[in-house]
Amino acid sequence: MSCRLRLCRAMTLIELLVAVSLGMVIIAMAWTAFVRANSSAARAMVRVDLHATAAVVREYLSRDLANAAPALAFFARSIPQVAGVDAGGAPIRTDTVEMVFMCQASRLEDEMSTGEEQTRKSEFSWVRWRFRRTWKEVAGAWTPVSGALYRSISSPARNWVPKNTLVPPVPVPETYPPNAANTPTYLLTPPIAKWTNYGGRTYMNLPRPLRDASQGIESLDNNRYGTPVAHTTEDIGDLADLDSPDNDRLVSNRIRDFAIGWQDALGGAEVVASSAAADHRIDGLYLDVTGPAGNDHAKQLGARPRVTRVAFNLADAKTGVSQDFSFSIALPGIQTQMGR
Amino acid sequence: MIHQTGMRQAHHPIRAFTLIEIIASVLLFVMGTMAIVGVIILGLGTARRAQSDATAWATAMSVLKDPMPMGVVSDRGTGTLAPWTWSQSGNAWSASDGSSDPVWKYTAWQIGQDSDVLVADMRNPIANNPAVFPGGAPIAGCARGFLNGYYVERREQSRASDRIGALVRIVEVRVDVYWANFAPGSDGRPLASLVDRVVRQGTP
Repeated sequence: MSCRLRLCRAMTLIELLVAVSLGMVIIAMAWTAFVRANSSAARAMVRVDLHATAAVVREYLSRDLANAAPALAFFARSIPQVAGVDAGGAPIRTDTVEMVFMCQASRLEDEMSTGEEQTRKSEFSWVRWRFRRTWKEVAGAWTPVSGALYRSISSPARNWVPKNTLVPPVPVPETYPPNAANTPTYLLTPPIAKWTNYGGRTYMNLPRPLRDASQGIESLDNNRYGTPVAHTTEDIGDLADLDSPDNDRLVSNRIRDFAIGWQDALGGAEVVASSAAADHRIDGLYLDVTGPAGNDHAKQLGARPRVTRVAFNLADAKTGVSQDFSFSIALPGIQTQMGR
Repeated sequence: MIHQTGMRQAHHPIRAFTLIEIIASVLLFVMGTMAIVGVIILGLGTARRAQSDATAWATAMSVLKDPMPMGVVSDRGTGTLAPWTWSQSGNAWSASDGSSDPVWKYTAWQIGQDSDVLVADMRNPIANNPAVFPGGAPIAGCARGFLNGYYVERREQSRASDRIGALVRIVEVRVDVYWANFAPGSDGRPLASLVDRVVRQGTP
């Protein structure tokens, strides 16, 4: 009987209150720890994701810059705060920071041997990295609301060179523009390059769009050597290629700011950032010492980037986590003295 | 009536939880929750390692080539970042370019020096850490600061025998990358550490 009574006895009110209170306190502590740990985990995962994205951007850009031959043209410019409207007709502003350079999109370093016939093959393309940021008016103030980084590449010009024709029959004078009557230029197939003699050695001048220093990136259409032409099969791609929606590929839409800089061969430095308008054009000329007026070759050669710098900010809108990144990528050539 | 109730209780005992049972249940719940928290914390450690795998080495390779990275994007400077200089009278470092960049500092060196230059011992970064930016005469060829969420130290050394010409010399560069909360001078293993030799040319 006493056993049955003990089994049937419920808790007293005090016991129940003590148990409930103790349980609530412990559960609240555990729940707080859980929420904090969960929140930290979410932020950590976002941070790892941002770092992974930054690593991809750096790796992708490094690959392009590593293929940029030092003789080729290089553009960088920024166009801040351009007024416009969005799809709904609301006023917006856009920042643009972009870098365009010619690179060997694919190359076969070794000569391919097919019996007696040997050839070298290269594919030259324009590569553009472009950051675009959109501003909207929020509570009377212009506020950046989104940003994205794109990369595009033009259609390549295939450049097959029979080995036996690598040395031009007659050295080409070092002058420009070439005298068509007296200067035997050696055009490849398609005719996109010219040989020149410099210091007893033979070099190939690659096409570049900046004979006319007044032209900017839009002059990519004028990339036949020395002769502006419309888009033809002789082009190494053109601006339309880079602007094609099918070509302009999104790299990251978590990017909130972007800047480009470089250390040139003479130790000077340049910065192209979204905060101020800038326009830098480095000629693709390699050995044309006596170029036309306004095209100082020595200056252009010295202005070639040896180290290219990028700085960007990646952010996650949901968690508010953001991280600044800065990478420097060496280009072909001896590294200049820095930190002077 | 009493008998019937007693029989029903005998066959189907109606018994409430005891205090011990409730407390045990709560403790079990808490232990389970804390186990989840533990797993999450373990995951955080894994995430940090993944982060270091993603960019610590990339940061080291980047700084290896460039002692003057752009740094924080909102404080990208002018691109002509002047070295930090030591003011003996003011007993402080200052940046003459006016950027006052708080996250990255470096000291300059001259490529034309014909003697051993730069850091005396770049093999022992911890021991030399306070000497990177000492409270005295500047040691050339050092850079340190916060970059990409890490604390980075970089030393550049060149011996007299490394001179190739008047304006060309080989430099040995060491870069160590630590977590951003790394305290200079304290012990700690770097996330990434690189030593390489770079050919540098001066301005003609």
